[in-house]
Amino acid sequence: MTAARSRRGTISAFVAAVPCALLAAVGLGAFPSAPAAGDALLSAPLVAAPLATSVQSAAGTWATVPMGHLNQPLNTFWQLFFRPTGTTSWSNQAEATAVATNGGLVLASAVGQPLVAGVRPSNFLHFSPLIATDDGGDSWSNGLLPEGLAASPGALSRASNGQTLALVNGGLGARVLASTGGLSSWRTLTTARRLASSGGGIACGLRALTATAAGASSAVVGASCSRPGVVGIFSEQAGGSWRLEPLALPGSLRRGRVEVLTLEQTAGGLAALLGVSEKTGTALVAAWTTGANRWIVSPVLPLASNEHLVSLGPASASGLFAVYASSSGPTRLAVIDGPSSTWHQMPSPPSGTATVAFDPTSPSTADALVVHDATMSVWTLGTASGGWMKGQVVHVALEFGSSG
Amino acid sequence: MGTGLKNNDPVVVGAFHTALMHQGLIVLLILAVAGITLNVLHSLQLRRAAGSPDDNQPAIRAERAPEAPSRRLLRVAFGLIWILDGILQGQTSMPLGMIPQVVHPTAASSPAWVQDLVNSGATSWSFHPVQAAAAAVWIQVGIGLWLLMVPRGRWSRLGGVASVGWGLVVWVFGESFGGIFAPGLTWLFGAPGAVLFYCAAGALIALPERAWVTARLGRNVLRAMGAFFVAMAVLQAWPGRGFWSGHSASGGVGTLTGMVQQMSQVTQPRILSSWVGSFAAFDAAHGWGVNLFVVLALGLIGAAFLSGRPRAAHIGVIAAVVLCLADWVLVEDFGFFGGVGTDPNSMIPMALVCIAGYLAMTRLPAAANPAVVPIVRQPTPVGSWRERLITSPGYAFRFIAALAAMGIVLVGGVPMAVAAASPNADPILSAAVNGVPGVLNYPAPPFRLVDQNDRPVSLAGLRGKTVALTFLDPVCTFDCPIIAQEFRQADKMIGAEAKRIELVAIEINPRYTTPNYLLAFDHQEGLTGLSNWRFLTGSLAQLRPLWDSYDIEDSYAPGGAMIAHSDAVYVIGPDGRMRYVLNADPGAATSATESSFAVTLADAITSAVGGR
Repeated sequence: MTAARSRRGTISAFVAAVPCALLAAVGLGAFPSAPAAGDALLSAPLVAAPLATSVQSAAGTWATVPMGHLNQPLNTFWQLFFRPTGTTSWSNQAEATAVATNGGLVLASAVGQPLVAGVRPSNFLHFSPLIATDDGGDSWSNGLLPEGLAASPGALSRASNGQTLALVNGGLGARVLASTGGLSSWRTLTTARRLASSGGGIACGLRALTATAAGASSAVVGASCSRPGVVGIFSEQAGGSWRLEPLALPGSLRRGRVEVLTLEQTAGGLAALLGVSEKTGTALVAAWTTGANRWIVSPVLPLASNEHLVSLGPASASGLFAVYASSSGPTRLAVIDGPSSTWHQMPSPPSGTATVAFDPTSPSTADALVVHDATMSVWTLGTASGGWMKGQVVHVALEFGSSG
Repeated sequence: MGTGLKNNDPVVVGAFHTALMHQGLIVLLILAVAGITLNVLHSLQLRRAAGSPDDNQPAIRAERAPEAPSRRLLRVAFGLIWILDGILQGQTSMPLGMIPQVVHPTAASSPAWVQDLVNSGATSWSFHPVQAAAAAVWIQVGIGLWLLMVPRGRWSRLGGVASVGWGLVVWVFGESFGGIFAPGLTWLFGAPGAVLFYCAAGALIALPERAWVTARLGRNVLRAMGAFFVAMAVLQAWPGRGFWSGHSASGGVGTLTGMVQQMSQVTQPRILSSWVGSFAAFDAAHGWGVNLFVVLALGLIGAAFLSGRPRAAHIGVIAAVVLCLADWVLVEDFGFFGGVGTDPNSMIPMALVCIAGYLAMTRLPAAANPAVVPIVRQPTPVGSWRERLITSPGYAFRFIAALAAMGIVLVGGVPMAVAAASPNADPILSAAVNGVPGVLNYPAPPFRLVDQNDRPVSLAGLRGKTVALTFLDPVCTFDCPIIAQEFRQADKMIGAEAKRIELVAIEINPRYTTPNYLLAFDHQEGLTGLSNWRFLTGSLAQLRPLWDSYDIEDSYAPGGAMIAHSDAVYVIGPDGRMRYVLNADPGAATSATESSFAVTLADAITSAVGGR
């Protein structure tokens, strides 16, 4: 009897212990172990390409920068600044969008071309209104993309024949659209899925489309590739097929994954700025083509592991610039002047630099647009002084909390 | 999933207090009826006793053996705790603060499936905050009274079942399973949730009374608690969870210190926050020692309970009670401060279950009294329940008290159940955000524009139909898409009557006035299939006077913000006269406020259709 009781007690204790052990196990299981380094590399975005940039147009220089509380998406308001050719003063043209710009602005233009600006979706707006001007903002025309512009500085481009290309949506749902007269009528040039299943797409291991541009004779699409060392630049061929451009990276970067950060039509031909992501960090490489199946690849610009891109865009006639910074170190500005050049560091722009704008008539002078909350100050790099001098200050009356 | 309204919104708080007052009057009525019924039954019992011809056949039945002390402890203590919880649910902040400040923070760190489940309950509360908060008050007060007033018999056991049932609802939806699926699970902060102990107590109360006559039940309760304490000790001792140090590796505070510091920030008497703050500082300085003490204490208490020996259990219970009280004061900070505290947290219920287990093992019900029929051998008194009502005063009291308690539970539960059956939110939220619709009575300003398909539309052409008219910006990123969805919901609510209604929006953004923007908006909002939806535009020369005549202001907000404009909806009757104007500002635009506004709009439209 006593033994039976004891056995029953043991069984009861066991029965009670099981849920408690499960409780402890659940409690412990709620702590995910740190992901393996390999997993993190596979899932992490390669290089975040910032939307802040400046472009040259027929009437002057345009720049877009984020202002406000940059750690709060709905209190970040993207501005559209304009500096007419031959002047030093910037004016804010953000009102021309007549849309909340919390999602960012994407600019497309080139020397001698009008400006086209696209408003990225935010909140409940899922398509992208477009505005265009060829007289420095005195008059504007409107357009409309049926879907949202991709979050890439190269998502919008304008060809010299007036055709506009747009990259809409993201990831494998992305599409490249071409305007068919005006900015409100579009046809699909290609899609991420179509490109991914093409021979070039398979060779690249296409992850996403990242940029688009009108090449010398056809459309060009930039992508992010998962296969190491492969550069995802696709050019449209006669008959509507797409070809992976034969662009080889320096041997030191063959193991890195490459993302086309932006494509720019420059005086020296179509330029691509590439972000190469390796285990040791990120590097930037520029490449130019004149459309003859030949690419010229620049030397490598390595970024420190704690540095991130702040802005990138066209510099002088054929050049490209990149602004990058770390949380503690100085902001840096690197420029490459063209296909046969190397990256060179300009004097460090002031802390808070959101983008820089080069003077098309004087490649060695530039304006840094420095943003602190609702104030944008212009710092000019002069040839005489050799340093950045503070000039114009623009206060923007932001309405915090106005975007929902 | 909340409402976006402030906790002390006067409209909702006023409605909550009114609901509590009305329901309180019904509760008083129930109690009065119960008292009168008992009095009547007592008179019948006395009359029957006086008229009984046979002295050997008692007219009034003797009661059975007294209730086991451990059961009485659980019943009375948890009855009082349920009533305290009910009173706490009556705090002003509860209707609007419960979801954003209690439910969501608790669920936030749980897995997605837990959050989804919790959100389904949170939606019901957010859609009907007044009914839900009032229901929580009366259900908990009712269960508490049930446990307190009905000491034994099947009605008492049923009270235990009610306690388990409601406790599980609160544990799942209010406490997100006590946070057992979330990181940071620790005994110190009340894992696995206070209400799980309410459920345990309810389950014990629901056991047949014969279960309490031997020490076995108590031993098993203590063993279960022992296994629980040991499991919690293991969890507390597990490395890498941040409890072994007062500081984190990144230089911040340790897990326990951080938790206690948070508690010290809660609104409470200064002396209490000073105690809690002091303990946080002590843990920051001696985190390793504090955790070692906690691990050892939990492990030893668990071992004492698991041993099944009365002496060890005696020491274990005392240690457990002391540890629970210390944790309740220094870590859980009493649990009910801050305006949205819903219960005194887990330590008191946990200590009560331990004590009850110990009493059930060591203090069995009194030995059979010659005047009392032993409960094991004596079957339940025979006769129908009607007969027992007039022969057994105890049974009559338990029966009536249980019915009264059930009635109190239903006073809260029925209105909530009725409200929850509707997929739409209560219009009180819309009234809180936008006020009530204004009544108008003058001819609506005429318009002649084109719709999204470039077809001409005029107000005169819509004569004979009720028109809900608003002004929208097709590239607006927030308010306009929400108002459009509220129109869609209102149309659905109106049902078959919708064929007599036109939902009309007029373009308000002066830059994007061509129909292709309106069509893009319709596609975006899924309005293309709505046959009575018309989004109108025209030239600026047509639009500007129209905006003025409807008092709609537009302005360029500086710095890349959308066009600022008035949010208003006009309801125009079939005769072309203005009937109502509604402030359509969506506020925080939660699903609850959107649904609530749609209800208000549908009511206004229906009212105009009927010519009222």
